[in-house]
Amino acid sequence: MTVTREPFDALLEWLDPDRERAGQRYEVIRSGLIRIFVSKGLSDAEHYTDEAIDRVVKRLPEIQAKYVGDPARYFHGVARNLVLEAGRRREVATDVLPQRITQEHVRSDTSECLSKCLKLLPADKQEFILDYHLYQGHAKVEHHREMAVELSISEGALRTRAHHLRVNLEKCVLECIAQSRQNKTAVE
Amino acid sequence: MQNEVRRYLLGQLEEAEQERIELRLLTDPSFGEEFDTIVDELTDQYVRDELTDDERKRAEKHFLTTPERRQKLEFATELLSHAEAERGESSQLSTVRPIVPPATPSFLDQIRAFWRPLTFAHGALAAAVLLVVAGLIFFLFSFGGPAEYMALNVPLSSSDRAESAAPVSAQLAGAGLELNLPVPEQAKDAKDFRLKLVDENGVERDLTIADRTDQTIKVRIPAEWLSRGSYVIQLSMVKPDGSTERVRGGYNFVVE
Repeated sequence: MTVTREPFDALLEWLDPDRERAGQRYEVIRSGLIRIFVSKGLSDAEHYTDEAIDRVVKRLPEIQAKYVGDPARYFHGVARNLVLEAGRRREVATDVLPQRITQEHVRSDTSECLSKCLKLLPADKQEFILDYHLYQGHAKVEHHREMAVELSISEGALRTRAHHLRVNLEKCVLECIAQSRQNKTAVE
Repeated sequence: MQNEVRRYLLGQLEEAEQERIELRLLTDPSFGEEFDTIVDELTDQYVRDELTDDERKRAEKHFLTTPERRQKLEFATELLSHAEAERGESSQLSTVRPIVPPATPSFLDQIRAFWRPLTFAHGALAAAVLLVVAGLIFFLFSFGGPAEYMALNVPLSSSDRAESAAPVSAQLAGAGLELNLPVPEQAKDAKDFRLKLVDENGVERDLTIADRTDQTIKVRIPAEWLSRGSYVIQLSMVKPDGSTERVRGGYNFVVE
């Protein structure tokens, strides 16, 4: 993040006069920009997000007084321009999947790390996340319905619970892979 | 909204619709999580080969192009593989069956599709799948081809919703349904068509045209997409100038 303190304060003020609400809005915009850039195929979404925020901050003195509407819309316009610029520079990944990805069931660090991370979970959560991902198609829909009834929660709550668990598991796996590669490099 | 996000991720939305999703991502704190859940589900469907050929191509072109998404793909492959291995131990693989793609596949496609799912997860799983393949090959040679789709003629109705009292009904058997849909008079000059399957809960899926003449459009719907209930197929025509227009009404049918 290249934005300095004072202009950043001005940005927060523009988003909402209430500092706490402004902070929350900023977080939503930031995470939203990352999701947009990833979805547009930009390889370094975080870099583009910082660039988008940087551009808005730089233009803020000119636009703050006369801009009408939701600031999120302005961020959106800047993001779309960045996507177009990246497209012109051919930074948008449009190639087909590399062979490495399309190979079936490659045993890798991911597999080892997933086993480790699953073992770190309490038994009930480990069972839950594997159970949730058991089936496909209509069998999956039926199975999730049964799981929700068993746990006395709605299907939406079940989905959210599974998503949170999966996000944490994925984070654990990514950290484990990074650690494992670091260890391998140190040995070499 | 779930279907719209899915189409956004597959690069199927018009500019204005994309903007709507993106603005919501920038303003609605709870939408980000919903969006991420759909990303996970789409990744799982790719891994499990549950996408149509068109969706699969789109996923590779639009959805799985960044390192973040490829990482997710690798993670999903392993997670589902672990879940499959668990199922192998607990349920003796009773639900394992080969995937039959919606379009008529070549023999090589069938073999490729057969090995695409996570069948290497467990030795016993592979053995069971081999037995199924042997059965499938025996079936193909015995009956002269994969005649798994049940043909059905479905007229265009004035209603465009999946109703409980649809006029055409079908028993679900085999690989799924092959529907012959008459091209309405007002759509005779269309350059192309878009078809959408909508179930009674409003869940939508894009359909691929298997065959088309001036009078009829043929689509195949795999059995995995269908359960008991009412469905409607909504038709849109692509005009010669490239614009798209929804045809009023729909092709209603009931699966019993």
